[in-house]
Amino acid sequence: MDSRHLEDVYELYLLGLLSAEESSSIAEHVGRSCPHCLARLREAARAVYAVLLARGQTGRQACAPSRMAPRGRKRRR
Amino acid sequence: MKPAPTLEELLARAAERDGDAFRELHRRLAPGFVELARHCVSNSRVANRIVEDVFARFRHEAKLLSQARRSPEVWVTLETRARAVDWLRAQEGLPGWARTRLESLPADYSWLPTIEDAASLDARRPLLSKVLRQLPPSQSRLLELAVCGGLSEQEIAQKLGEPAGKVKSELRAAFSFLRHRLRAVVGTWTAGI
Repeated sequence: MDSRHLEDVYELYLLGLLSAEESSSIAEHVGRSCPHCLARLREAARAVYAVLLARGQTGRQACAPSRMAPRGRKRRR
Repeated sequence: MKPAPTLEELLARAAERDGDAFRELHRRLAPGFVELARHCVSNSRVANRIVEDVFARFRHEAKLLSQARRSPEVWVTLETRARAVDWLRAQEGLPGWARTRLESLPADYSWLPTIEDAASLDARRPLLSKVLRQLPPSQSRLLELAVCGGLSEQEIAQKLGEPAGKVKSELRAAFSFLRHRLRAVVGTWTAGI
């Protein structure tokens, strides 16, 4: 069976927020390594990452040296 | 002076059980992920413990991620978020499915974005912020409750006192909007964003 009717729920599936009923269809496809479902899961992971990245809560810039410097220590001039 | 190794180089070395490379990855990445966990759980001690647990597991997964060229940042992000929201839900006496879901996915990480894909998102962070700001405030709030609060559509509807159908359609619309915009962001086409 085609998995395109599941198009709108991959993000919720990845986040573990989809009902058992809706999850089972995707789980079945993913279990069979359905290329469409794997591609959509990659997009879903990208979307969740992007939400957190845009809010500065993850990613390379969240751990840039300026943000990692101990607080309260003044730079010498 | 020798340039600092890239994350990709460190990941490849960590995959070969190079302890120095792993410590350097931890030094560079962990503080950002503690912030993410703290944002979700509002508890510094718990946030630190979550990230240490994630990195303990990351040590074992580094080889697979490196071989498959899958993004370590996205893996750590999803794992940190999953552990944080499962902890949050446990505090409310609710079952947590986030980690179970990640563990149910193919072990070859074919479902994760590649290193290059994640790096291109990192490089376009200002554009991502702009995309997020284009969402209606109500949808932005729903995304926050689902991604960082770990609440299902039904639980969000109960929390906000809104009809479940409305929450469902708005949250799915928010993800749909993001999905389509991200296809443009990671491609070369950015007109109209």
